[in-house]
Amino acid sequence: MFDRRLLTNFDWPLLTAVCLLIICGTVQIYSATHNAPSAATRGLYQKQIWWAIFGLIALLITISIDYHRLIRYGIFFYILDNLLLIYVLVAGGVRAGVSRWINFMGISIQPSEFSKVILILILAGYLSRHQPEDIGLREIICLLILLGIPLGLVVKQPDLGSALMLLPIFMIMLLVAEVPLRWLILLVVCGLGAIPIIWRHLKPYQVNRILSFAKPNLDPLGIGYQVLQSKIAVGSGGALGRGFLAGTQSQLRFIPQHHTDFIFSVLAEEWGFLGCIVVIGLFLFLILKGIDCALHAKDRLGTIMAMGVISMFAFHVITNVGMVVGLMPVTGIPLPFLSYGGTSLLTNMVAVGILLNIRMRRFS
Amino acid sequence: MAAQRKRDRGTSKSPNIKMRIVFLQAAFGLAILLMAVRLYQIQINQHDFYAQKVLRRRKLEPAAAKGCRRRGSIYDCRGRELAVSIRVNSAFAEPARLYGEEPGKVRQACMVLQVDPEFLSPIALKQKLDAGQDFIWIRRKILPKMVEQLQELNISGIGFREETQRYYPARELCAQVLGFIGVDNHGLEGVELYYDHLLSEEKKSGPCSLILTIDKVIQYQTEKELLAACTATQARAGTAIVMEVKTGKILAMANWPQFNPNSFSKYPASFRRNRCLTDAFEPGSIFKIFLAACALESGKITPNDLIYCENGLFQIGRRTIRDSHRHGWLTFSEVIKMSSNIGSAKVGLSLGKERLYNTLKELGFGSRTGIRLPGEAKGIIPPIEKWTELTTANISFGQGVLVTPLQIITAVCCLANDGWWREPKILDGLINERGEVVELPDPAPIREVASLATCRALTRMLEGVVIDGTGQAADIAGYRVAGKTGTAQKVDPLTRRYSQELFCSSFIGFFPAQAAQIAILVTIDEPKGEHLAGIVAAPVFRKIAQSIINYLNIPPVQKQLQPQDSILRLAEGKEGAGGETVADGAREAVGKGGSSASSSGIAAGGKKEIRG
Repeated sequence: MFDRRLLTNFDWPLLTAVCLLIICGTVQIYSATHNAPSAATRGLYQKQIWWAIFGLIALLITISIDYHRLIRYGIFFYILDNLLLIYVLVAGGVRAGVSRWINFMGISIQPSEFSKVILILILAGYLSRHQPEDIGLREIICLLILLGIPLGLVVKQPDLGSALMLLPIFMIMLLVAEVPLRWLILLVVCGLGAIPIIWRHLKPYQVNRILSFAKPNLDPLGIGYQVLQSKIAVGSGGALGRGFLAGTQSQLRFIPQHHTDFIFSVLAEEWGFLGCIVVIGLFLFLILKGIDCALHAKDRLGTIMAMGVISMFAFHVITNVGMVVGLMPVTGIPLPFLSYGGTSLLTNMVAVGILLNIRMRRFS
Repeated sequence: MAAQRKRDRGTSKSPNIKMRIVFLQAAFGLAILLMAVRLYQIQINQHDFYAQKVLRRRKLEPAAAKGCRRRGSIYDCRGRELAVSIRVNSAFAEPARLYGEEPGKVRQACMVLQVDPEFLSPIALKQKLDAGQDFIWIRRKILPKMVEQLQELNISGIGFREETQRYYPARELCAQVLGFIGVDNHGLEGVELYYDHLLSEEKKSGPCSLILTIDKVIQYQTEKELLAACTATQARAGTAIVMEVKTGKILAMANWPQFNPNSFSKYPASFRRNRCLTDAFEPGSIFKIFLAACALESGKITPNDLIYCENGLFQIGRRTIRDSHRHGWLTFSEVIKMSSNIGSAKVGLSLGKERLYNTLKELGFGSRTGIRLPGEAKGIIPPIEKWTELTTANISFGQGVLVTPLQIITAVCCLANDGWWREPKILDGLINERGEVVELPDPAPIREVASLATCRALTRMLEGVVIDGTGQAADIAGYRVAGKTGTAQKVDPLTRRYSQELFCSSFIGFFPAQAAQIAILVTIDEPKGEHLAGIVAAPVFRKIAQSIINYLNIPPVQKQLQPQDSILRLAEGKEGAGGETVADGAREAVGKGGSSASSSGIAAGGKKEIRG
């Protein structure tokens, strides 16, 4: 299975970029939590390191299995993940008013993170089996059902942010699979038409988040406060930053969730514009590499899969950084590889594994 | 070429798919570029703006940490506390954190703090967040009990900060001199305001404590007597100042009505100002002291010169000057003793306006004394170009000028002492940040107004006032007292003429006359009923003086009694309180015997002086 050609085609720069991002993330998690009141929070960076090692193993497993075979397991993962999502709703641990986690042997897992990669697998499998010209109403409905099941379950948790992240992945995969534009346009129009109906079913805090983005001061949950504090942190970083462990905003814990969703503002405060550009540059490198991988993939399946993974990364980065700098509404979207969160890191590592997998098998 | 071939072989992709991917590549690239531009905007262009916001926030943090620093204390001249700062807690809220708390718990917290629960209702919190408030005081300076109860409730978003509370243990005592501080711990009035830079806990090297010249016991006695007189006469206001003659130290400075600086906001501003130096008034007959000083210093007039007092009516231009009693020929001494306006006017006119004006200016009238207290008034001496004969005549007996009580007592101390004018002194010393006591020097003599001979002659004339003149009620058995009464007519604000009902009664006196130690000025503004200073103000002087004599153990006048007196004092030291009553009794007995002897002594001495 492991012939030498696979190794020679292995994309070391891509893996290096990912490792650098993980190191940046761990360092910033340490900075954000080292003076936290509880010992458990102070130890989070160690947990992140363990998850990174675990993720690296998962990545190795992923690249060792030919992605064509991976697709065949897709349906199995898909069913398992949806069962986990149902289990979370029924019996999951409730944290901060939402049920997103499963406690498994002392490790808490967030199945909604898995759904993203699994959706990529299942959609890529389905789309690669259908030629673009064959796609009609029946296929579109099938695709919508494949999307709808995890989407609905994640919305139910409620985790609107994660659920919404599935939509661009879905759309881009359809786009790359050369689904006729008229279908795509129809989907977009239907989606927009559904907004008023969805709006009415949103929880008040979700409405507020969106409203508070439009008008940051309109803000009962203090989200405008979060955004303002985050912007103060970013802005006070300046060109070169305030130095490691010297960020006032982050150290004094003015920013909520600063080791998870707002990790980028900690980075921005302590390492300044320079640090931000380095991290954003690494992400850009990752995305361009991934797109290159999609363009050069051996077959249509590879292209669709790679683009699914890339769209997942790209949308996470844009949404998260956009939120920190006040360009996007506050959604609970983590920054890939940097935010604290084991499941998220594991999922992203597997996704990178898929990219590497496609890239190293482009000739065989 | 090789790359091109690879691509062709490696893909079975249509140009359409490539186009879509390149489109996505551009879109992602642009989005990330947008983030970078935005970061540049915030981090480089608007860096100063956001950095400032962090600074503002950091300022709050050290404030919490340095809660242990306290504003300096204020002590009296013997180290007794007049103003101290004690530690208290203040409760604050962080609306963003508090918003997530149970409304029931928050309401309970409001009840503990005795604030309106609506103040921290979710709606109110939302409004505060909207307004960008991330820190609000719920209640400043709360009781320790409240802190405990709140800590039991364990609400995140409500915290405490240690602050200091200014406390004036003697309540109303000396309040107008001390002043008070606002919520931000900065002085708003009095010593607290004037020396805020020394007292403030924000002082870089640490706050200083102040030692005033005020003596708490004398201040208390002075205030007690002033209060009694003002309430008995239903006066509008009253002041009393006790000054150490030789040094210009203010031992007491009392104002009526009083206020309590611990709750200063409950009193109108008129209760809080230090009238002794902020309010200028027409002094009336008290001012004849300064005319006499001018006359004696000029050498033109001696105390025994005879002056015709026109039998109570004297015409200057169209104005008629009246005396309360008709007098014919009086010596200058008797003019002062009987407080004849006509006699004074004639003396003033014979001295000429330049001489009188210059003496008044030299005595400090029309300019601030320079006391280290805020809000001092200058008073008004009309510019000399505008003086007519009538002006000179009026000013000779204290009409047509505005002076403050502090100016009068400062000028009198100058004449009672050695004729050198000195600044009054309120700050005796300070305790610096290292805890060392730094004594401040006594005010240096600034200018010589009158010769020693003039001062002595004047003192004898003023002793006459107390012995058999208008100020007999000020006499203290066993002591030589010099003084002058003043019953000034006030201008009725309605008619703009001198009123027949509104008076300002005052008495200035000092003792022991042969070597003055203490000067006391009492003014009682608009007493109802009896208004003559000799009846209203002079007894207040006597009572204050009597208590000071007891307190400071000032020996009575008889020379042969002095050794005995010192023995008595020794006895006091040994026996304590019991001895003191014995000593008081003895002094009383001694005083009664000595009174007539002293007055005859003056008469003899006075003649000698005039001849010389």
